[in-house]
Amino acid sequence: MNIDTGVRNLAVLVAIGMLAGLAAIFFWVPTDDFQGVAQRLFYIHVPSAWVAYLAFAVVLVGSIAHLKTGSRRWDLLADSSAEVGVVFTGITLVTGMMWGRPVWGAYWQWEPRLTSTFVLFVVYLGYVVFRRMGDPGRTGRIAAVIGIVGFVNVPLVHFSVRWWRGLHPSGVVNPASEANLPWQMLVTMLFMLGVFTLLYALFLTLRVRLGRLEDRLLLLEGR
Amino acid sequence: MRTAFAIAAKDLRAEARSKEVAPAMLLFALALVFLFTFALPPGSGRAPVPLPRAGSVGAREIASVFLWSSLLFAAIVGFGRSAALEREGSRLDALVLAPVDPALVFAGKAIANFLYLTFIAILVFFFFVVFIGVAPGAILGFLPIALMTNIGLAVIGTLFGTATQYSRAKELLLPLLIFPSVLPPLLAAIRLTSETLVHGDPFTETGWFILIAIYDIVFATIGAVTFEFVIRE
Amino acid sequence: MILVQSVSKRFGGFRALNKVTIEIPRGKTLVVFGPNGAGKTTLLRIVAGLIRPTEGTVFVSGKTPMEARAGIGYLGTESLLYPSLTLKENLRFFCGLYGVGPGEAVRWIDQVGLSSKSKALVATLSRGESQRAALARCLIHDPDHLIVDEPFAGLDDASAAAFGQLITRESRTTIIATHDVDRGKQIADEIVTLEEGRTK
Repeated sequence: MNIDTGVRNLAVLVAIGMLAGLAAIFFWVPTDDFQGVAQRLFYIHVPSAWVAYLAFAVVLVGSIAHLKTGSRRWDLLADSSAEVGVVFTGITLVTGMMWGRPVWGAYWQWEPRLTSTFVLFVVYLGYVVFRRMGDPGRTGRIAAVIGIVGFVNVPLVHFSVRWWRGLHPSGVVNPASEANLPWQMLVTMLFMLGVFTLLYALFLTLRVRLGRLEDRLLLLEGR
Repeated sequence: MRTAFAIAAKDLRAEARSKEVAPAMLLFALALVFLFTFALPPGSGRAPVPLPRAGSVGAREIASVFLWSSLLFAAIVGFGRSAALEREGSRLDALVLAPVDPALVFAGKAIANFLYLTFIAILVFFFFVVFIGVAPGAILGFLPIALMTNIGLAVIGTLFGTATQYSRAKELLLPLLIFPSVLPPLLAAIRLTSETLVHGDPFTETGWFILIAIYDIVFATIGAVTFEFVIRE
Repeated sequence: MILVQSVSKRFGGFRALNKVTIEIPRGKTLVVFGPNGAGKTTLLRIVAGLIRPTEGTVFVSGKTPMEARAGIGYLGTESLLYPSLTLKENLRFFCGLYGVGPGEAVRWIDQVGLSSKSKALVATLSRGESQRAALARCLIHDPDHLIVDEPFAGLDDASAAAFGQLITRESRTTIIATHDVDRGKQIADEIVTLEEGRTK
């Protein structure tokens, strides 16, 4: 099996999974008693958040490996994963706000998880901008440093915001802690997590291949 | 460590002559404090009553937010300029060529940035004394907070200040990277400072000090280890 | 002894150096000729340890340039001195970095003939003076290996000769990049010409 059929099969699998997942979200899963229809956003929101954190963890690994080995492959992996991660962080934030408006009554709360996600979004946006605007000889290594700092900072942000809020209770609903989840909800959520993970793998593969082609093109354009 | 102090001393001596960093920071901070004070009623640094229409948040809590916002903005101006001192004329090359550990170069630059910041922090604090009537004695509580927080700010500022010198969009990137990265110590500093302004004692919530200390140690270590990759092409 | 083994350097798609191999025996002076953009500066910066090659290896006395940097002097097109410090303060700072006594600063200021400018801010030095100051900076630790980029640019004959004399020393391995063929040939033991990133 060559790489193209591999990628194509993955794409087909993701497409089928996504359609099946959407069907489940719209027609099969029961509506949440407390949050109503808005809760269905969670089947997109939570997997996006998972992929975003996974993507940035891959950036961290790629960055450290790039600094250790100096290999362009790790660098390209980190770069690609950061781009995919920023997109999914954006989806997470937007779906979160869409959910927050009807349920919390506000688009945004400076709550630990939201704040951490927002901080990740900004830092890795900076990372992606730096990638495009950096001095070519140094971009990879400096970006790796930014990637490491950005990720290590997340637990500290999470903790400090929680502490800050802890002194001003804000009555945020914690959706993950609701007991007695109907089994259809759990199945749909796990299914969408799987589909989104595959979607991430697909995007990452395509982006890495695009990066390789760009590198080759640059070499051909040069002498 | 002598090398680090030599680099810091070199920065301070150059700064004493050229005055490129600290006055810019100071003017910027002063301008911000001046603007912010319009949001507070006169003498509100002493006022025990909460501000009207500001919920339960008292004037002194707001003063604390203003104080640290001015410092942060001034810090970003300072970090960019202090890094540019090495970047202009490729002077960083001389530090890469010399047989010194890049971690010590990092430490030297961070020490200089720390001293600028602390100098500005003390002056800004006295603007607050003059303009909004914060009690001068509160400096005793404020100083340990500023010293601890400025370590973390200087560390991140040195790392990202130098990193963004190698980009065409440095004026955009430096604040974009610094704001989210310094959120933990900044929240801690704001909280501790408002404790000081309200109760006159920052040590009622030692947990925040521990948070800043952890932040300082973690990022000083990361900065020292990774600075080599920032300065060596 | 400096050994450059099939070194290539790419900047994005631009191939600045293409499998360059050079060997300079101990104590010899190699002059690198070539037009602008031929890769001379890139080669020198790689040997000095300022940039890493994309492929290939460099050995300076059997070590990597980074490990050998205490024994390397590099003089590029910029003086690398701080304009708002005096000449003496600058050189004393570098004495500290290289771990040599502060007396060396004064000695080298004399050697390059800038004694009268010792207390002048580097920003106020003329172009020729700051070139000599830069030379003092790169020789301050009396390196066994010297790497010099375009030393003759903007110098008259007399200063160029004086310059040549200062940089050559018994048992010092030297690389000089220049497009000044006449002056280069006078001090060269060996000559290499770079063109489009390759040795010719």
